[in-house]
Amino acid sequence: MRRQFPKEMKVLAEVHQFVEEFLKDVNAGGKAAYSLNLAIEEILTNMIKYHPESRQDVEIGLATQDEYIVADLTDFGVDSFDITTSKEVDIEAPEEQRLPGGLGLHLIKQMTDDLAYKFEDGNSTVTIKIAIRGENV
Amino acid sequence: MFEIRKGEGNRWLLSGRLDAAQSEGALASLNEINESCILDFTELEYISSAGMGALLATLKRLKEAGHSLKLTNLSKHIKDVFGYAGFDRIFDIE
Repeated sequence: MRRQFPKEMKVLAEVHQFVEEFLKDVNAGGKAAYSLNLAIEEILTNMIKYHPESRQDVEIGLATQDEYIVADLTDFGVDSFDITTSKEVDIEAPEEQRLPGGLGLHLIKQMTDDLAYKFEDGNSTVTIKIAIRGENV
Repeated sequence: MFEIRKGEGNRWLLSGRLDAAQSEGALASLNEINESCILDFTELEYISSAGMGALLATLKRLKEAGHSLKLTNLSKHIKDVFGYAGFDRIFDIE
């Protein structure tokens, strides 16, 4: 499945429906479903918040490969930002030292089995893999 | 769709999906709480980092005012996410 979405926050509900349709098609649920929804939201909101230089639609592709869900998100006409090398969040810091920001990328790294970044011709693509692990609906 | 409503006593019931599109409204609702309270997650299906940021801001605000904040009835997946974020060490979770 592959679809383009407007690059704005209010599109999240529509993206969630798209992801749920895919999960139903491949009979996946449980932890894999939560992880996929969360990773896609975090990547997409990162593109919306930090790459306003392009207003083009963002493309999301969803597929399965062996025992994995593979999702790719492409942001067209933007500057490069490799999220795989983002600064780590100190999750052991007390709450008074915890700051907003950075947590989303940390969660993506924790909840996916593979995270890859590609920048080509002004287009940023983030690809994630999540094991289906038999936790089906 | 996300909703927060007052339950019995100092209990507040969260329901739906607390994603980045809902976090601003959620924080505005949470800012109306000015007492020690319990946030009940029984009907909360999903939360992302934006929603967790709203909860963290609420915890800091309430603690500074001398109040406490407790979270209850977290689903397994939300509990896992809190663990990945280190929020299980920050929040009082029952």
